[in-house]
Amino acid sequence: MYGMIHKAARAYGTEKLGDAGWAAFVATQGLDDAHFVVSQDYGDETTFGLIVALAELLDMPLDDFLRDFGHFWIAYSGRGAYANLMPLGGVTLPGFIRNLNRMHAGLALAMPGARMPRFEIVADQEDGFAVSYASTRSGLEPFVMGLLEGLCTWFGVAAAVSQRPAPEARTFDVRYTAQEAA
Amino acid sequence: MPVAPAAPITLDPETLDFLFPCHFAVDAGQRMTRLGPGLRRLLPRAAPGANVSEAFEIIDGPSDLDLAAATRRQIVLRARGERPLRLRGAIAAQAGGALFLVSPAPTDGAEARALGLDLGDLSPCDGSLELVIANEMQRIITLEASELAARLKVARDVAVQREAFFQRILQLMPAIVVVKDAVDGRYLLVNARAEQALGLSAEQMIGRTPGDLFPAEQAEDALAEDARLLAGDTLELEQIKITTTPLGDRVFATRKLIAADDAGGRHIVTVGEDVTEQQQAGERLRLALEAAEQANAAKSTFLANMSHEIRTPLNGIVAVADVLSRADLGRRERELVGMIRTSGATLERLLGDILDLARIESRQLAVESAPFDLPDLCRATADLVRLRADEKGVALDCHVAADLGNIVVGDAVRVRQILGNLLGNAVKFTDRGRVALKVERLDTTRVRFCVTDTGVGLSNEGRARIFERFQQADESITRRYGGTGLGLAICRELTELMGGTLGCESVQGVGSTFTVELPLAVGAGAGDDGAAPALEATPPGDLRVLVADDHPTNRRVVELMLEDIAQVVCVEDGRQAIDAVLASDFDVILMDMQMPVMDGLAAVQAIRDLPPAKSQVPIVMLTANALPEHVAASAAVGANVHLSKPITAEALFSALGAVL
Repeated sequence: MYGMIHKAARAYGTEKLGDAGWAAFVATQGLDDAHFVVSQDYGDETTFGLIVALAELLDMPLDDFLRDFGHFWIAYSGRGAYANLMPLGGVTLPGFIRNLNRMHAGLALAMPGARMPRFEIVADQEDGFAVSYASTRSGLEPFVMGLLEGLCTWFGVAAAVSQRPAPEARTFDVRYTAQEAA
Repeated sequence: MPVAPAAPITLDPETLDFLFPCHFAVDAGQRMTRLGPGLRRLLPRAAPGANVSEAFEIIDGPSDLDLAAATRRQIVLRARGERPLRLRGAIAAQAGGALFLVSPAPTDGAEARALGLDLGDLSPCDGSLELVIANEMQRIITLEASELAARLKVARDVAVQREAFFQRILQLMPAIVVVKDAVDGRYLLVNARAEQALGLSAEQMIGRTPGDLFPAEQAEDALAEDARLLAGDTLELEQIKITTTPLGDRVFATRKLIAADDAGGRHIVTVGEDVTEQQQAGERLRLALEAAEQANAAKSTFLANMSHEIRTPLNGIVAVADVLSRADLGRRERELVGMIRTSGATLERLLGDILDLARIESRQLAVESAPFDLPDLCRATADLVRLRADEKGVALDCHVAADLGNIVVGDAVRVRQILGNLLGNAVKFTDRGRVALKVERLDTTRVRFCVTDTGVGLSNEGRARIFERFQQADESITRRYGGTGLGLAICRELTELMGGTLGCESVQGVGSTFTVELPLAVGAGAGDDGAAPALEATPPGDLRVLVADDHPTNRRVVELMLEDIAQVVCVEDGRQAIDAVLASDFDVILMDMQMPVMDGLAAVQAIRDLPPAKSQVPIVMLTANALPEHVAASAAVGANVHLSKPITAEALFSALGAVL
């Protein structure tokens, strides 16, 4: 994956471990500044290795780590380096999700070889909507759950996000709470 | 075939809204008739019916909006009002007016954000979104590059500071540190201590090889050592060797090893110290030790020679005086002879004391360790001074504890010497009252001797001085009592040599107590008690005595002593003695040790090697060589008795009585 994921992981890890703790962790992984360049593609093995090791260090189950990292990703993107791009996605939660594919397509031009996920709203009702997630990678559903929950927070939407059971495990329901629905 | 004209293409409103969310249409009068959903959201004041010139200013495009001429022209507009939205696109003709197919053209995300744009406002056809994303990514990457550059600078600064810190440490190190490149042998690093030691600056050395700076042979040796290390023959090389430097030849103790740097390059590191001064000091010490040993040996030779040279003429005085005292003399002559004998005895004692001190000082006086009868020795020593005590009217007591044990192990001669000195002093300095010797055992290894008197006593200052050489309690002592001031100094030296202690308590005008504690373990069996030789064993008469002595006075003294009991034959050296023995029979031989041609030891050895009829003759070594090694040498060659000069008739008769 591209370095933007590594940088987000670095921000997340620093927040959890402090500067010294993060520096020590990175040293044990044999990583340095060269592994945290936004525009550099590092390969999934490197990225997953970093994520798994960080989850172990934080003593978090991997799914819990991915979900929490998803929350963090939205806030990190919105307030950090991508603060100018997030508003382009739209001013409503469903609108933002609908614009994600076009946004990812634009980003892919700046990051050759990037394998972006696709999101489709497959059901849109008054009390919520359903999002279908497609990716060439597997195992990142908890991360998607965290992203959706993070977007709910970002747009101030009170909603519950749930993952459908297999074989629809890549479909997530966003159900507004009673207040939002009203 | 003719090509049919193309059918006109029309776009439904939804498609138009999708492709150009910010489009608008105008009529022939340039009034806006339709606005796309994006434009409606972004410019709520722009409504159908408004004149396009009122809503927008032309940034780039036709100077007027003559629609007929403006068709299929590119145009850039900017919205008038509080939201300066820039629209870029083209004008297309349509029935009754024109269609402005325009789209927002933000240059980057910041502008898009400031304008409140979202994806829905940007045309999917013109790359405006991709432009924004590309510019935004460029900004992010540029920012990241700046951050990385800053971090790199910080890291470099830290590295530079660390390097400087280690350099300072290296320069402050007291050890020599020199680093060479393993490939070309050039000096890479030379610390300050190395500069001082080698007499070369770092600037002179760095970049050069040993061959450039040092003698060729020395440089080749260094290269050979380096090669051994690089080949792995040895992990490190420790050595002490001489190195020729601009400062001269210096001796360095070094450790040389291979070290690799972070980049994997190998270096030859030498760490060491200049031990030239230590080596020179060691050499000076060795030479000084050698000189001291030579001086000690010379001193020993001097002592032996002096002992002999003084005893020889002293024999002439003492022995002749002794012989004279046996002659029929008048009162006045007898008094004069007595004075000569007393002075001779004093001189002999003084000589003995001086030689003893000299031997103690040069560590040549060895303490013997042999069993002897301590109670007997104590009583005999007391008896030696009893006559003098009786003459002065001073009582002399000798009390030996019952549990003392008869036999102890130690040096009887020296114990007698110490007790004799202390008892002699006690009698000397006591005019009335008593002198007492008390001997008791402290434990299985130590014995205490207390010599107490009721004599003149000592002041505090006197007590502090009496054990020093040539010191008496005060100057009046020498005038009133005589003495050399050596006796107590010798007692202390001998006591300490034997591992004991000597102390004194005294009250002036009341008396003194001298206490000696010596290690004298209980011994088994009886040995030589070291007592003085038994007196007056008068030899039988009509003896044939051979006297071998190169000094005529010594020969004459013996003749006079033996004239009544023996026929004396005199020779002058050992060779003549052997010839005399071969030519005749003798009852006893009195052999001097130091003689020309052949000395006494060689002569005794030669006589003992003769056939039994001749070899068994008793031999008394009669010599001024009185040191223990001389006594031992005499016994080693087969002499029966060693008798030291100066001799008295009593001593001579006693020795002859012991061997005949």
